[in-house]
Amino acid sequence: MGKWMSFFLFLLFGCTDRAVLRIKGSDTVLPLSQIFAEHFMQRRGEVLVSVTGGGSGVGLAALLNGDTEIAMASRPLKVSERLRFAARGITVIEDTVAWDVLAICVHPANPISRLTWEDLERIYTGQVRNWRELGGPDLPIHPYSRESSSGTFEFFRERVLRGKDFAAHVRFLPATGTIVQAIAQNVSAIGYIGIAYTNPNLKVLAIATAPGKPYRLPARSRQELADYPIARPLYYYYDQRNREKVKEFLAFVHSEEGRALTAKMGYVP
Amino acid sequence: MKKKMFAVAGWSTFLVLIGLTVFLFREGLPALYKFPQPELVFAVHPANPVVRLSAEAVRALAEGKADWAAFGGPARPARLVHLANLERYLPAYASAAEIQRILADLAADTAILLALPAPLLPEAVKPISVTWQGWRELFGSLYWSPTYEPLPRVGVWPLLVGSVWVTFIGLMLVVPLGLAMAIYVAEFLPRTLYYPIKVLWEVLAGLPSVVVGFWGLVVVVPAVKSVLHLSAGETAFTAGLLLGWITLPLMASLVEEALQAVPRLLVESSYGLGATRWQTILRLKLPYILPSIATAALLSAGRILGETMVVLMVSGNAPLLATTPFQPVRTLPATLAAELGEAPIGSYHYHVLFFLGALLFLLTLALNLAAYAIQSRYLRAQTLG
Repeated sequence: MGKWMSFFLFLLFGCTDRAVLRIKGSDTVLPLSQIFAEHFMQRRGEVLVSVTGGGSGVGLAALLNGDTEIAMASRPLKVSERLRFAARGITVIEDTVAWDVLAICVHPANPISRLTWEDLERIYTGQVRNWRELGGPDLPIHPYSRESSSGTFEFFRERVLRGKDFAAHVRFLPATGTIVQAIAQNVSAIGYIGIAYTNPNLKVLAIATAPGKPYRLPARSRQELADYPIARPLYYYYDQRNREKVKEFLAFVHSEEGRALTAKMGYVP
Repeated sequence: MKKKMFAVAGWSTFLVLIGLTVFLFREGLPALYKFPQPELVFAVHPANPVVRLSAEAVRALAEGKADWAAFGGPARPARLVHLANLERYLPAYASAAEIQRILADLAADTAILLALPAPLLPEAVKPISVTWQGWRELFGSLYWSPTYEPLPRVGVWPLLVGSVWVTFIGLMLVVPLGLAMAIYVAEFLPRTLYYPIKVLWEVLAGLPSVVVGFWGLVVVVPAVKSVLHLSAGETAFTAGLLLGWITLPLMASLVEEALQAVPRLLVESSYGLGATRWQTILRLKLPYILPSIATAALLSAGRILGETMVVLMVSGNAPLLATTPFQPVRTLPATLAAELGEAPIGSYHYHVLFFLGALLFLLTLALNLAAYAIQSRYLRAQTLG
């Protein structure tokens, strides 16, 4: 009996003598955080970083309840959440970890290589139905989108379509991979995906924010984001009182090495 | 003791099924009477004479398709501020006081339409009532966009029509092919091959539908596109085709069993009267098993109607009111699968999805009851005859 007791005590204390840093939230940010955690723990063996997903809302709720040190989010704090944090007297600090840049893609055989933001809105809201109207071939336009459950969908509707609704003929596919597949096999297709998912079977379009503005390919650095704003920031949120606890990890994220990891994962550091 | 065990197993299954059905309807029926955004208060500038708006009017104003004049207000397009677009007007680190001040500034615009939780609402605005008739929204609208802000579009017709197209195409394939397969296996296949073929059917019927769906996406979708000269391959036709294929084993085995069950007496009488093998099949056996064929077709229809994964991958999921099978469609089960995971429990979206589930349940129940009715009538006719 005593032997077992000491074994459990050993397990208990064996674990707690390592500092634990909990990171929880968005599934979009999850793979990035896992890479950070892996490399961070290789250097700082005494810190245990645990990363779990669940969605942006889940992570922020955990932060509110003190169940995590860092909440990952693929969207900014909602007003309702801000007010809830304020009500508990918690000051949350927002840290932009990376940018998830969206690429607008078509089939390589489509002669169109650039569009204005307006064109994009007209395509997805159904005001333009044929590539001819945009100076392309006489083919119907088949817009593809992620399902409504995806954060990318919400971002695209709110920011690119400026809150307007998708046209009824837009095809909704369940995952980014299926959209890549659909565009690669159809000359009339157009779709939006994270730049991490682009491949040579797709043609990435240059986008102009307004008529007369220069056409730009998806941004590869923060400076370029000003001219290519179809990108959403990925955030870490933490309680100001935990600043010391998370400082070292965040410093690693923003270090040369961390930024290289971010770029390698297909995001803009 | 044994009897008791069987009774417990039987009744508990029955009770679980009843419980699930009750749950389905309890969660689904609120879609008919609940308001989609109970936490939001809709409000306008006090100078705006509008006091009541329909849901359709709110959406028209939100999308800029109508301006206030159409509803008795000022001749200006509405400026909508609601919870989802509020971020556009706020700086990154607005405090509660700042938020209040910015909202008060926005509310000074006579063309404003606010949809905000009561605590956020500025003082100098006039709340209005927005009418929502669940029944009309569900069955009177032709659009499906259940996450649209500030008010969703929840017309079920595009989804129902989508499901009907896929089921129809599937049946067009499965009934003739299933019959042909069953006749061949029951009548012409060498006996040594009979069991290998039956096992193969079982394997085919047990293929994971994700695998079928992915194969469909990579192989069948481009094939349909090039063979039929369509501009895109994700259509109701593609989904029907694949679902027809995976339902084929079910249809064929049901018909094959019925063919084997035709009384020997009748078959031998037919041969005795000089009928050939084909004449016996076409004139005696097929008419004799007609009720079984109908039953098999109805059960296959139920199977196709309820299939989720394959349609989600290959039908394109566009909530379009399709007039031909060569357009993309969004079916009831695909909608449930794609959206239920992200709909917050108890939200209007959640209730609408359960409402769709209840609709699907009723449709499948109707098909099964029809199959059962045909079957029991046929059995009675046989015992009497």
